[in-house]
Amino acid sequence: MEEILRVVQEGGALMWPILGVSVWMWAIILQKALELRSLKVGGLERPLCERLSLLGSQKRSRYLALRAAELELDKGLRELQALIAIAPLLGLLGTVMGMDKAFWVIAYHGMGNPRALAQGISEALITTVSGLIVAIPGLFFYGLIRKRIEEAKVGVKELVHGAFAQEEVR
Amino acid sequence: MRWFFFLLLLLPNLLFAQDLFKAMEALRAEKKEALFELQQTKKRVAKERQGLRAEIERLKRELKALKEKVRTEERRFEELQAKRDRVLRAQQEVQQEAKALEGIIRGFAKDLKAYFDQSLTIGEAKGREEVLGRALDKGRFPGIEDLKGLVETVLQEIELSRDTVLVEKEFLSSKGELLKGRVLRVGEVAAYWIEGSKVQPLMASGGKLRALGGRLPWNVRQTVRRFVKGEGRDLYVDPSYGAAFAFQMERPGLYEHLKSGGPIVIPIVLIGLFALGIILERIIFFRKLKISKEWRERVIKLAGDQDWDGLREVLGQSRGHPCGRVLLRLLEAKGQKREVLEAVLDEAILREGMALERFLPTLKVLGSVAPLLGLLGTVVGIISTFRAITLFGTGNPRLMAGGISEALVTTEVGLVVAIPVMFLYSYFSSRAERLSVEIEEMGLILIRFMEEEGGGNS
Repeated sequence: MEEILRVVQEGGALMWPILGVSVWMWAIILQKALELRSLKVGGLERPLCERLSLLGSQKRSRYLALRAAELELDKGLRELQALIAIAPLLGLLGTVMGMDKAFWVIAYHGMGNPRALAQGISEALITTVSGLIVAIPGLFFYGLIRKRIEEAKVGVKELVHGAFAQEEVR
Repeated sequence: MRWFFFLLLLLPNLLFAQDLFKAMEALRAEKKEALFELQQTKKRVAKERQGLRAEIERLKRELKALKEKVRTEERRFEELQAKRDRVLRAQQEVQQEAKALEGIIRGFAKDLKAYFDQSLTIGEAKGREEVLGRALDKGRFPGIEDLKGLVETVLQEIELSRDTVLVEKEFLSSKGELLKGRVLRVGEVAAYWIEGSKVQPLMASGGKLRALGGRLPWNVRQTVRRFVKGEGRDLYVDPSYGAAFAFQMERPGLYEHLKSGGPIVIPIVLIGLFALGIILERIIFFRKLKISKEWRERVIKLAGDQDWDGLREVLGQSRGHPCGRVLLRLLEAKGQKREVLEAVLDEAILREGMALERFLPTLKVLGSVAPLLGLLGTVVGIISTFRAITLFGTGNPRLMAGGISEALVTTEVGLVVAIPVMFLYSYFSSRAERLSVEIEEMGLILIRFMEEEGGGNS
């Protein structure tokens, strides 16, 4: 824990937003993972039926119910996507700031102060690395979750169409 | 005749013969005397010679003795000379040692002076200047008293550097005026001039305290103020004798930082402000638009009970809400066929959807343009830096580094603008989509109940 705090401090001001993005991202991933796990049991069916009972069975209502269910499934996914996109950007921003600092140190002190210079460079490197460390597993899990959601969407579609097909046949 | 003549001749002789004998006798006596005398003289000479010989012997002995004496004296002289050389050498050594000692003491005093000239305790240590002046005076030998004085100043400094004190002190302002003011000195690692809410760090150099120009970061000033009031126990210190403070003060503030980025910063900042305006408008817009569960259930219940007047009243109250407006419009078309109702719903949603998604494409464009502009600014800055290099060569890394540092400012600003804009764009667009689905759902529910009623009536 202290190690992490030290790295965060070395990385400069931009490390806090990166850390925040990371925490938020993992919270969403965890939440979605738990949600999709419980979905397996067939938790989708009930809210769908409730909605359909309110909406009626017209074609348009069916599509809307489908869309609402899909939206429900996709909840948080867009935020996740945005967070994953933002993490490396924050890293890049930190890098640019660190480089700015380093070059400013050269402009102010000349090449004579390697310590101050190193501070800027370490900031520059640590932030990019942290941004990528946050983004890469995020992207991986985003892919997994996305795949599960697509599968679930297919399931929902089958459920809706199957139910009404039976009804129409009847 | 001849005899005569002979006789004649003889006569005188006979006459003289008497005299001759007498003379011979005298001569004999004389000879005898002379011989005697000779003998006497010989005897004397021999005697004298003997004496002289003895004298010579004596003198020779004397000479020998004297020579001997000379030799011993010479040896002694040599010995004494060697002794004198030794003594001289020893004296020289002692002199050298004394000189070296003096040098050490002077060097020590000089070091001390250099140290004290950089120390924040200037003006608080009494008598330090005099002691140092005496020790550094070239005209006199620094004796044990001066040494004691120097040690005393060091002890005094150690004692002073232990305290954190609030004192009245004289110092030079950043403009060079001599001021007197309240100074918070933290040992030797920090000194702040406190006047009202103003907090300026002091730096000691060349035996003078100087206030540094510029502004300290907000948190540093705050901790000092809190400390002085007795609310806080933390303070920022600078063990590098003011270098860190100077560095901090030299760092450009936000405004200078932005200004150093060149003209391209202006459109980026404008884009940022524009995007901020849109974001604020959207936040206010969406804050009112949450469809609460109670409202939703109330509407569904009223529609299920076929209480159209009650429903109209509820919807009339929430006319500010797009969902309320859409449902009202649907309610007005009550009694029509389903296809017509659906068309009315579509039209109403289209109208409201435009309001929901208003500015969002603009926000997206702004979010993607800002980093591109930042990149453009960086490239332009680097090109001008390289142009400067082609003109002036790479002899001055400061010039080059300054140019690159300024060039990076635009990228920074671009990213600072783009990151929140992109994130909020994604948030707003998902919010708008969800809302439009919710509205459509409510509309379809209403249509169903209206149809049911129609079906029930007919």
